[in-house]
Amino acid sequence: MRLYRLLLHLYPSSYRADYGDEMCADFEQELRLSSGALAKMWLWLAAIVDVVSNAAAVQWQIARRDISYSLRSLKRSPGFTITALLLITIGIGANAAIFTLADFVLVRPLPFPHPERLVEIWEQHRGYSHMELSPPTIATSRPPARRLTTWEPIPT
Amino acid sequence: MAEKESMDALLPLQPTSFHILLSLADEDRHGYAIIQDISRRTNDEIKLSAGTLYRSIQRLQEQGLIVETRTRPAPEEDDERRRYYSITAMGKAAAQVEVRRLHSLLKMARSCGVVPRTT
Repeated sequence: MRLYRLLLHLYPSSYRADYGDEMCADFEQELRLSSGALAKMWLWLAAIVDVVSNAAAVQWQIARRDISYSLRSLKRSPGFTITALLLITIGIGANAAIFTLADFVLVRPLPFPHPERLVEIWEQHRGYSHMELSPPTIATSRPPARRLTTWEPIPT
Repeated sequence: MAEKESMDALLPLQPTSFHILLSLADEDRHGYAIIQDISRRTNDEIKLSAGTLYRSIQRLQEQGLIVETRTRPAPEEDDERRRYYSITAMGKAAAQVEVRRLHSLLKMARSCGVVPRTT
């Protein structure tokens, strides 16, 4: 009987509180009246199918009622509905933008081979400690460190 | 007028609901007794499962066609897990309207020759 009671947890709790005990009593009676292992097994099988299908129907019925109640409430207060919809839209949009950015910056590998060998080189001049190299400088100079065999600019 | 409209909204009754109302028309019963009564009345053609029965009972209670009754049998015959149900005046009226609907349907079928006329 404990198994049948466990099976009844597929129903919503309010429904179980109203009819659970009676359903258990009915099933207990049916089991008592059935004779033979095969009959009992058949009874169990029928009970499982019965509970699963009817519990799904009851859950769907409650969900439909909730949805219809929500829609009616939203229709009664259009100001709240528009504000809520706008907030949801902005929230979804902002989330999508942040995750797209995070994906490109943090997750995806850089779009060229051996990205771990990438270095950034700056020029220092008086008064300017952090200047980007100009294309002619790159074209006419040698790599500034021994460990750099070749160098070429990456178009950005 | 409003009562007629609410009654129209309930019709046609689902076959299960109609059988439950018929079962409760003569006496108050608990769920299992309703299953047995319907099975007996229909010569075992209809054997409601517990899931179907209690879903129908819930719907009929919400529609006000049946109510749970406080009257219970003597303690030695009672199982406290059982709930007893009773048909309401509205439930009886709904069953009567359904019978009239089925009767006119039968008359129509007879006039079309689908069902043989009785003498």
